[in-house]
Amino acid sequence: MKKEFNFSEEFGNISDQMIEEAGKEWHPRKYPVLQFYSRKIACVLLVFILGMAAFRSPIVQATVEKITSEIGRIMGFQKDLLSYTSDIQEQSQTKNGITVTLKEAIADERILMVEADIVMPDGTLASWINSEKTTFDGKVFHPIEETYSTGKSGKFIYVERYSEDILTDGTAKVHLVVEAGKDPGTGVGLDDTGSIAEVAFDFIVDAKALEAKTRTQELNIEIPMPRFPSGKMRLQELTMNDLYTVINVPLADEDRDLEFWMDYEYKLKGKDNFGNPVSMELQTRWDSDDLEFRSDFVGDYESGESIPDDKIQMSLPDKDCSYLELQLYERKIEYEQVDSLEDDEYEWGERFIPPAEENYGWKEVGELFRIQIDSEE
Amino acid sequence: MEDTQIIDLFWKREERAVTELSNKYSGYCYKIAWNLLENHEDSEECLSSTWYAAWKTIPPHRPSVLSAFVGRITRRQAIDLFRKKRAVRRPDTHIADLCDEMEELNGVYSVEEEIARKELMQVIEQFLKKLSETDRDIFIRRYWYLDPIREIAKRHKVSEGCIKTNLCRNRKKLQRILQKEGFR
Repeated sequence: MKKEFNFSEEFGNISDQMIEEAGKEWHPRKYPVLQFYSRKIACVLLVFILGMAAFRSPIVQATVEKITSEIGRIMGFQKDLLSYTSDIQEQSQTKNGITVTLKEAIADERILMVEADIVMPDGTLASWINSEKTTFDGKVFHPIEETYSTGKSGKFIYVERYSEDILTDGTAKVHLVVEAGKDPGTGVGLDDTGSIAEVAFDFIVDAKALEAKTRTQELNIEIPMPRFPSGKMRLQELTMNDLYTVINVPLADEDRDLEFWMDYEYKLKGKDNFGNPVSMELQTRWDSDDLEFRSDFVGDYESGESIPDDKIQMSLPDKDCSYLELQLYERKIEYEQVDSLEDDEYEWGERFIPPAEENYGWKEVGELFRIQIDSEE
Repeated sequence: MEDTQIIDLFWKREERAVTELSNKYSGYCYKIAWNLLENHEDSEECLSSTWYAAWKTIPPHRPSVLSAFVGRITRRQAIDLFRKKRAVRRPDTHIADLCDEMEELNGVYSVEEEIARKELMQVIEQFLKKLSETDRDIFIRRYWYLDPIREIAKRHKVSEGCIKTNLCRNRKKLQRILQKEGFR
């Protein structure tokens, strides 16, 4: 015999953990692992390891380490980032058979980049920063975006981006907590996060060198944006340095209720006068209701794209360029519906499909335009 | 006071357990009741019933998450009270919308109730686990905490339209799953 159930009552019985989680203050979504990034890191590491084999002499090796930032080299930055690295002492810690060595750190007001080497006898599968336990001058900040590599190579780059300033007057005492272990999805670690070793490092980051070389410029350029009710978008201010490029996009009142936002994505793409590729994705700002175009720490590669080892490059202009030539691109976000019953297991959900069309589905909007960069006095 | 200390007071049958519980969770529980009842006296009545129910059930219970435990009692009390009041008072737009949305997900048990209820909960929890972190938060805030759309939009810094679209998409998803699993 069939009996009706009332959803409002039944839904009351979901697990305590889910209720507790949703009862907390909401922290913006994190992006823990970018699959492509992991592949990219693995490719670069191959180059790196071969390179080290050629320079086995301790003298040559020391020279190599002195002239190049490993974070910059592995991630494909055009400019060397060594002058922005904080003066941290190389520190090693071993726990449960895993040795984590902190190698390099670069910070900005809202970014922390760290490189660590990890040695684990049976192969480390994953490592991540514990953002709940990591502090800056004793305060916890929740990252809005996390990017890190996962692989067996033992060399990990972590990039944390925050919505608030993590530094005071350009510096901060960092208490960094790094977890290493198995892939959290496998649940084979000591706890349900997959962590086997938790180690902490204390050091000071200094962003003054980077801040001194960060330039900002008023733009006030309007470009056509047919999907906005106002029909246009205003590029207000450009910020550039050797780590990232950002263009602020304040929204007109009539453009604030952007229903189409879930269906489309946008980017500005082009070159600087030196020919460096430039790419910035449109995203919401975390500190206001406005938008911004921002360069991505994994460059301008499409998910699943195959890149030759020696061709990996950050899509970032030279901050000393004289102009940027950019084009607005739009892409409809297409999801593939997964809805099948196989082996008594019901699978459903949505999967992003990288469009098979030319240029991965990105279509030009409006004309190519030029941003003239003021010369620095 | 830590949750474990409050629970210990209940187990020792000390009356100040209720005071400590109320001090810590009255705001949390009041919000849940208010979201559905939108009436101060009714919400306070739910809270009194919640503290009384906690006193009656701890022990033998030892809740693993005290907030979820008391929140669940308040939610149940609020739904019961709402049903009684709805017979004589027409709910406002927010509540009417919320009820309509949840009614879309009502269904039937086709096997013995206790077994079916467990299976249903597994299906719902599996559905929630497979949602993205954002979608899960939006869904639980709406249908467990009974939050108005505007508050969820504010929480996620998006328009109310985005939240409505998101909820509608996920309700349809859950409807399809319930149908496949024989609950509709």
